[in-house]
Amino acid sequence: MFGVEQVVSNDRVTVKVTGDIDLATADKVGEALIDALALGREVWVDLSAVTFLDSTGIRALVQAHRKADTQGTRLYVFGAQQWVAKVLEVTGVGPLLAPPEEG
Amino acid sequence: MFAGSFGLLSGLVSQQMISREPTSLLDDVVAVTVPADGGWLGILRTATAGLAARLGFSGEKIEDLRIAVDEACAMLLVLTPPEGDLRCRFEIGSTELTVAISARLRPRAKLPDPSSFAWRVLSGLTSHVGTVCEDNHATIRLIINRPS
Repeated sequence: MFGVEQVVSNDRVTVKVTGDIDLATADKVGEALIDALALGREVWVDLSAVTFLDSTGIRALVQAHRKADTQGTRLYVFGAQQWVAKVLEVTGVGPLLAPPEEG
Repeated sequence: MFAGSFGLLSGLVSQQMISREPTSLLDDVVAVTVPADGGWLGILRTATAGLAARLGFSGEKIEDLRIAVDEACAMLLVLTPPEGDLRCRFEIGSTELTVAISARLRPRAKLPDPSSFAWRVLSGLTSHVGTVCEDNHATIRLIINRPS
């Protein structure tokens, strides 16, 4: 089942997406990310429970990333599994959306 | 009036050519037609994965094919008129599996640029992708070698 959950902490907003991100759900992801960015904190998108991702989802993530840039904040993607990670890789957006290395 | 009739006729002719040309009568064909709506993509992905599994594709190839079919369908779906259909035809040849995804497009609709994310995914996951766009009807054809 598709779902989006938002957790706000002091320094960031974590948006956890569950299920398939495709043409039918990408707009919902995009809207959730815009809502999260409106809080003015860093947005971390948790893809660990995403079971499918295609280019429509990639577009939603990249558009939200650009919006974060124009707002002077950041949007990162983490936790992508297997083929979700592969789609991030073949589209070349993995490095753009990856969080900074720790330490 | 005459131009309109002519347009319809040429549309029908090209459709027949698309479905007949590359398939020999000995091939097995599975055809799935769904309403042109993103809500049906999950069904097509499941059908694709099920068929690929029955044909003995490895887990990795099944997943690649599932994403490629979804991607090709999504590419056409954003260009189809409301109330349209999306056709997904699996042609099971002896050495290759061909997936032909086709739909009628809105007037003047164009397939996305090769630099788009959709094409990057499609070309990154499949070895042969071709498109045929005639009148308002587009077909994306994916060809994948069957496991030997």
